Amino acid sequence: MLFVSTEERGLMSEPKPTLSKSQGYTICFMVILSLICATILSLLASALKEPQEQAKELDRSKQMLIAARILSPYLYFQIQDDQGKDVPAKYTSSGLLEKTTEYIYPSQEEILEVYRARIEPFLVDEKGNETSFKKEHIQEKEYIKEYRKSGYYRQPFKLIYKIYANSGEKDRKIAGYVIPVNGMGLWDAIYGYLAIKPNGDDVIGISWYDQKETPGLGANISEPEWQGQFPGKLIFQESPDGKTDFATAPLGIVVVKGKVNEVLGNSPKSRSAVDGMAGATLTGNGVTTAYQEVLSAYRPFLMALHEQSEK
Amino acid sequence: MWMGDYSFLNLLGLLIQAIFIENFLLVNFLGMCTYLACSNKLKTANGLGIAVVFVLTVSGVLNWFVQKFVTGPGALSWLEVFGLETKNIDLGFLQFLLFISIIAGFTQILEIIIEKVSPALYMSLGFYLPLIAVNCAILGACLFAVTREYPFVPNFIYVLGSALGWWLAIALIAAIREKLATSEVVPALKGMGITFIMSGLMSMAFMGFTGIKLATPSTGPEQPFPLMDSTGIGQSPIQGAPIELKQ
Amino acid sequence: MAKQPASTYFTSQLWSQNQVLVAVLGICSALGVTNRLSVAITMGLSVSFVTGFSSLFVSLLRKITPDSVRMITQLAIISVFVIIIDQFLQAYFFSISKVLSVFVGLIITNCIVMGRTEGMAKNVGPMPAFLDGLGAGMGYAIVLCIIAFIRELFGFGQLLGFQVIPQSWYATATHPDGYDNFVLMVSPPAAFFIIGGLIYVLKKFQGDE
Repeated sequence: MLFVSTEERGLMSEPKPTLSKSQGYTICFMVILSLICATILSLLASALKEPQEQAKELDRSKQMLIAARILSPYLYFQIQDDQGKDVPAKYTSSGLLEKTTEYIYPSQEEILEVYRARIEPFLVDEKGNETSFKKEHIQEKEYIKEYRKSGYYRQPFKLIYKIYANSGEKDRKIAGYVIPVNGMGLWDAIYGYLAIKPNGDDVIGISWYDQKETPGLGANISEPEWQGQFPGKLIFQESPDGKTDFATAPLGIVVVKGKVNEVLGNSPKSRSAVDGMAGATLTGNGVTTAYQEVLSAYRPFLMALHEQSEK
Repeated sequence: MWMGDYSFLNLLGLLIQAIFIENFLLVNFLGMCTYLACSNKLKTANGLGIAVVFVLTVSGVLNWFVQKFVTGPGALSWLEVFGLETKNIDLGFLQFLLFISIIAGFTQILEIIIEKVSPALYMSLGFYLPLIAVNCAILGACLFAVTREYPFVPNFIYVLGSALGWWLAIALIAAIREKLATSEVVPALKGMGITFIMSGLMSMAFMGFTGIKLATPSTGPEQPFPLMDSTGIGQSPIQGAPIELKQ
Repeated sequence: MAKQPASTYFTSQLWSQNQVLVAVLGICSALGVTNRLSVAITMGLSVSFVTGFSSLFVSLLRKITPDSVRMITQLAIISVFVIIIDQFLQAYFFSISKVLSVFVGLIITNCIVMGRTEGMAKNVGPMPAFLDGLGAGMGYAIVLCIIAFIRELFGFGQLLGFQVIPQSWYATATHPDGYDNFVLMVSPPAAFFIIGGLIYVLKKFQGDE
């Protein structure tokens, strides 16, 4: 009688006619009730399966586009002007993005369209050679679902995405690559994307789409202000003499404890480091380790990219 | 499936984590209702605590089987022995319904058994059992456990630890409430008001446990349980990720 | 008990018999999901939906439900509605459902829902039961929104994601004596303190001791 207030208790103290039905009735009742419940739920689940799948795909696509800076964290399209700054853009019927002066928020279909046009998944092997799902006879959907938690970078064929430039079909230049990153934060696993330029060194942007860090502290890794430090950083750490040995240089972005300009000044290391978050050192460490581990699996590929871009 | 990659020392760390660091009552806030609304005596709290330990541990284990063989993704593949094409059927939407049914059903059976086997025990404990079926902590612990996809034994340790931690927190709060009942409190805060503020302070105290990773050597102060030798900063097998595979 | 007009079932649940502040139920989720106002609103509406409709159906079935399986039937009906809400959120409000995650499932064990079905719905007709359930849910939603309003405003400086406290007020390296977010508000103990405070306000208002 735990949940009942005093006035309700008054109502209930009158002798209630007990429904002492037979066992058979009880069993019958439960069976029918269960059947009805199960039917309703199954119908609902199948009806909603499509929108749910779409919602998941939309979420992933949005995050990749944010990392690639095609979508701003505030969810309007953007393109980079000649100085490399982000300016708002709008979706046009030809599938391209055009600069505008106002903020236009695209619909879900438009976001998915841009995603499908500009981002393409493929695989690289341990030696850094490009290959595709078709060639290796791997089912794309199952592969993506299966290895999301343990990490694509641990597989013999590692998932990576091409970013195509904002141009028409004829001129499919590659504007960068997106690498899926996962690691361990303070409380639970963290999942995100890292977008890099075609030279395999400069960062275009990052996003963290799945994390369960402390709100207000570690969860700041999902905030645009913190993420805004990453564009322009280098994933291969420059050595003090100014040259970078791509075969052995430390690979990844370091989240320092405190501010980069206080801890590292203007040294070459600072170009591969970002400010830490006060009170969230462990989450920062988790991010650092995530980048270190995941990127080392892609090193041969990144080195090849760099060599190609030097030519 | 049974042990996964967990060593025995990882299990100890997991137990300690479930009891203190992620204490179900003071960190995740589950299971307060039934307790708060019903009593403020230490004796009652102990009764509730023991009952929860029992129900949660068994239900947690049963629900692990349900998740593995009925509601998880691809879980129905065991039916293929009968020649049915069941690999792609996803019964995940039935998860809540089945879990709560198992919890309620088990509680009911337990009540019947206790009544038959030991009427004395039934007198002292039996009252709490219906309350336990709707205790948020039980369903919560089962759901958290399956979300993290633990293998069997770590799952068992996790639910056991969660229940023990809940009991610990309830007992602590009851002890303080007994004292509060005879203290001078601002009239409008008497009763529930001061209980909440007190719980808030206790929760702050438990926040001191944050960040202790029992299976990870870190760059910080020496860990009392240096368990794993090959994990780096930020890695913890306790929290569900598989231990790094040797390259 | 004298016959009440049906609407009082609804209104009494909103404040004088508020489930969270008076009956002290539904606490668990009130503490866990009140970090951000958008999450709290979603949770409040979900619980109102579940409580209202579960009470309605329990009341409709009250004459044919055998006594021995009463609680299981209530649990089953509640679970069905919770699953409906969960599936719906996953399809159309994906980002919020990610934040709520297991808390949606925990609506099943939310003492308010069970309390209303067990305490009221099985004894009264469908319409009063529905209004009572809906009222209980809305009362819960109001309390949740108040807590979340305070926590998000002081803990993040935002409301519904929009920066309310002007950026220029914040302390930076150049004027370190500026404003800073009250980060404790974001962490769990703050929710306890705020509820304690609300209970205090309610009691003072009602003149109770």
